[in-house]
Amino acid sequence: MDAWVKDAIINKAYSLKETLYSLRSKEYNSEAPKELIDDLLDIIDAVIKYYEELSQSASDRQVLRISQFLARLNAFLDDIKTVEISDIPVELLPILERIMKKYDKDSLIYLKPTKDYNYYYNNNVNSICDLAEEAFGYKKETRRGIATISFPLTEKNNVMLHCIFSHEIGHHFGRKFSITNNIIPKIQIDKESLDELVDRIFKEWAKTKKEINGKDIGLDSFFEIEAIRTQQIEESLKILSKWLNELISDAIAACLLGPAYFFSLVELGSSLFTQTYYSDRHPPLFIRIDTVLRILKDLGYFTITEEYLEINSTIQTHREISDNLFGKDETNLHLRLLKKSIGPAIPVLIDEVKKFFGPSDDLDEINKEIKYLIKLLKHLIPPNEIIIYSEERSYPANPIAILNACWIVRLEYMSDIYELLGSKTLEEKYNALTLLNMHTLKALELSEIHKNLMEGILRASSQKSR
Amino acid sequence: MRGAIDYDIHELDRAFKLGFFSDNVVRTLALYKERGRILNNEDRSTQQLAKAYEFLELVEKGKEQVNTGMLQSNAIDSIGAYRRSLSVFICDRPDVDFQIYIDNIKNGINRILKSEDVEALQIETIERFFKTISEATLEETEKLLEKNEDLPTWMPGLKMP
Repeated sequence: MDAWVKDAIINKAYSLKETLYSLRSKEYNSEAPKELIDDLLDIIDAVIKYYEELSQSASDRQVLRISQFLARLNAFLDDIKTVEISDIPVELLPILERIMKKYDKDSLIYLKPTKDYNYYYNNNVNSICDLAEEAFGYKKETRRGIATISFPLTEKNNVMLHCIFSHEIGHHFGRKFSITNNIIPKIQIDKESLDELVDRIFKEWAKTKKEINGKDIGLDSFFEIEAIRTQQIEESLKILSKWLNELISDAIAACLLGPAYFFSLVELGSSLFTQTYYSDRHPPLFIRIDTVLRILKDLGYFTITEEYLEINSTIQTHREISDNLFGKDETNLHLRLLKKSIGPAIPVLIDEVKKFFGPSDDLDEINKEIKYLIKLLKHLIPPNEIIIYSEERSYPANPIAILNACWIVRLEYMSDIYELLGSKTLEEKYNALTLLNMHTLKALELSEIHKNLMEGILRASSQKSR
Repeated sequence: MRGAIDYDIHELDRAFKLGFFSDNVVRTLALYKERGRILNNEDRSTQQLAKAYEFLELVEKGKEQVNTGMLQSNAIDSIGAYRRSLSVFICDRPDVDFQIYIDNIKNGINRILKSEDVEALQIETIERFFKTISEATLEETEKLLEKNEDLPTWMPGLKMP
């Protein structure tokens, strides 16, 4: 590679630095983008130092790798776009921050609308810092995690669907506490399916001529089978670890928000996945639903829904889909391998997540609040406050209770709201649902203000008494 | 949810990490060949070779897990290391058993670390082992970068405009 081409590559590091400096002077709705910029600037300096150390002895391979790495850093620019506060569900932000701080006080949360109809979590900054440490010896004393969560722009005010945020936060906690690594040893690669798969691949492989650099390779079949087996185990494990990540996040979300998460998963999942969907990134929806239902039952959250017939029927429908599908599709050898292998890990996963995140100490109180708030919301009164008239006092409603009450009203009492509003057409019904979402958002905002006010009063009175 | 974590980016970083690591080992070996020894004050070179030794231990752990079916928490990395080493072994076609091949590389690294004499052939085997891994990871990162539509098109050797 010519010297000027090498220079051209490292010049990209300087132009990226300049861009980051100019982005640093802008205003953001969170501290996260500036933290990210600072990390990236430090890493770029480490790349430049590494390149200088290599000097003229740098091989083409090393220079090309630096070039690729700079392209990887460049992709972060997409995470540092300015997001207007009016483009995010600002009422939810303090609640998400509270959840985050409860389990991980140092991490930051950053919401970002996206044109995709989906939610995403990204914490690539930690991954890139680890990588820079390995590659260039870059070290930072204190590192703050940044959870960037994207949500569908068109659903900004859909607070019920936004219960999916708890799943994305679950990804953050799952990584933070390395839960997947603890569960991987519980996976039992199904030997029978694996042997069948390896045998099938080996027979296909044996039919082809094996050459490396134009030379025939006459290795004995042991190494070929060993290589195929190892590759199949590695590939299956990579898929299973992604599936575990998703299931862990589902289980954490169920601990954080209870049945409200289950319903948002069913709503979004049903609109995105077919019921038998099989991908290397996500377990089939029925495995997810089954796991969430198991943890909700374990946590005692089902007492909330016992009284509501429609809700139980929704749960029952999905349980039946799950039960039916578990026994089917046995012909797909790889799916069979994955399903059988992950099976023993799921109960351990549930126990592991419960150790960190549940059950909630105030579940009985939450149950009572939900019942109270349903009565308000079904008459379209924002469910932000619990009033005890006999004692002439009130307190702010728990956000978890608000979200669950909203879901129960939607599933159980929507016809009452249509009647109240005279909603008959599809559009009128959509508007009624939007109104329910807006009342819930308002309730979340008011309960937060109320909570802050009460905390402020307590602080002031304790200062006075000192 | 679907694509909730950018798993491709995760894979990309994993390949980058191994790529930079193997580059650094090859570079350390080149310095060693040039001088005939590792200088006492070169902590980074010593660290790189110690990591290279750890990588080979990881290979052995991977092999054990494939053979017994008993997985450990580092299963993906160790089985991945074993799979890569098997590929290098198959390409290299040495006239020895896989374990002897790995032991030979481990022994060579250990000798360098202890400032003992190492045969040129043994150094070449170590160098070829890590260079093959380095080349393979470069191809992997290139493919993964090409898959990512958000990445820029201006990088030489990457996506063309």
